[in-house]
Amino acid sequence: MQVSANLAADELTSLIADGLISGNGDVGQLFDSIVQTGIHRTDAARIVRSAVREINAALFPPVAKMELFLTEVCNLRCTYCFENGMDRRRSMSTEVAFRAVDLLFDYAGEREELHITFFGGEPCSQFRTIQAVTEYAEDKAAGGGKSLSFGMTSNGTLFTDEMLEFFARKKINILLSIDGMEHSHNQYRRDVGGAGSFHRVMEGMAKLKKYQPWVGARMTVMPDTAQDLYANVRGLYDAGVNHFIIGAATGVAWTEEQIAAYCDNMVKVRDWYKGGTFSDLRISELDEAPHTGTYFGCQAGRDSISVSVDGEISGCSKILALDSRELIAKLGDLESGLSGIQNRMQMVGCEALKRNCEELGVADNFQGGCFACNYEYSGDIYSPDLAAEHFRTRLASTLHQT
Amino acid sequence: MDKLTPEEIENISNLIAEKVLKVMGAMSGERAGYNCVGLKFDCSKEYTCQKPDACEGEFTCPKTYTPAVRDISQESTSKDCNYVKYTCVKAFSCDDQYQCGLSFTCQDKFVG
Repeated sequence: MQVSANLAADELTSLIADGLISGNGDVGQLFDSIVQTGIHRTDAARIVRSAVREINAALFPPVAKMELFLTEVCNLRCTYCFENGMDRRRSMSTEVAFRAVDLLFDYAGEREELHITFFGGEPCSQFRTIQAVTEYAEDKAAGGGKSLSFGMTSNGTLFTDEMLEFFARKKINILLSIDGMEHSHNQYRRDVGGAGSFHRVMEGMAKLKKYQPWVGARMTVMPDTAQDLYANVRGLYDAGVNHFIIGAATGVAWTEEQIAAYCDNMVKVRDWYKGGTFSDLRISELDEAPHTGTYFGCQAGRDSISVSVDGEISGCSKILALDSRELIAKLGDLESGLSGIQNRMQMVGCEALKRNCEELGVADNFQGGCFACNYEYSGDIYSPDLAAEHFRTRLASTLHQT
Repeated sequence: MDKLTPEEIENISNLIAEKVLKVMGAMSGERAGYNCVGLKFDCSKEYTCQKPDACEGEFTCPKTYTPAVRDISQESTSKDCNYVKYTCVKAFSCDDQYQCGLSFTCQDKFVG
């Protein structure tokens, strides 16, 4: 292919620019088109990656947080898990994980404090990858003048002393998934064979507390465990949990009675929590100010991204899990960077979501909710989850009135 | 075709970025519009942070940014802003450094 240098550059510029403007984050076809003009594949990747990074730096906030979706493998089969649609066999290679870390640093801009969350599946099943990535990222941070923190969400059933020693030494903060005491927890958090996981989690927590005395727990409340929410919080506090993140399960139907039970129990939790002087307890939902955020939507795609096992990029792990093979609102991949420019613009700007919320009269307080929950409810991440809005309104009203 | 030189790659990349940014109306200081669509936040006006004036979130602001008032000496402090930190109203504080290390306990806003 013989063309003049200027003509080739103009054609190439238009081809790639048009592809990025009209694209949806999947640049496979664009790369094919570039290669057909006679450009080497590696050159095409370098050009696209460099242009995409420049465009993102001009349009969007720097990326400071990354979830590494290390594996789709999990030893549990929690009924409500938003990852149940995954094939549960794929895991991230160390090479992909290193490239993901490279991308985080490439997009961090002036941000000095970066955060990496190890996510799954059960991330402990990929301990060797965690070790390698942690040390790789630490080296990059030291060389680039950035500070780095780590977190991990775990079901707590696979801990070994070797893991916990490493996590403690590297200050990888562990958030346990525990839904309550034995009866509530075992209803939904079961292993592949159907056995409840409560006692294994408690054993894991006991081990964890030797290395990380302050233990946080993500507590998912199902409709038929809502009536036991207060008892479960008290029980888990007595068992050693210091910090609760309590959330109603999404993607499941809640009756008005079940919502009422949840609200009534949260009032009990609040009265107990606020009535005491706890130096060893935090409950996020009760510590934070009322929901009157300063922007629509959430952090997904704004300064936080999630990388799939095969190196595709989503706004968050929950959006990623909606379809891990054909990402919804895909933001890009590790080869091209955040090339889903239109998708990122919609996610950061939230104009469609704001407009839809305004039309439905839920914009003032709802502020867009969770993208993934919106999708589960409406089939569109930018159409609000009215069930969640109803739930949130009832809870806020109950807590305010009582 | 020979492989492109690093300079050629950089030049082409710059041209692509320029063209995309032009099309998206993001050149010449117009870029704030893509980020500043918060419900309670009007980017065309001055914005005052709430305490404790620290947050991981970022936004663009075409005018001025006024940090939260913490004492009289800072009362009138403001500065030009482009990407600046602002305070999330859902932020909360921990009691000690150890607890503040638990950044996972706040999904998107945490003040140590």
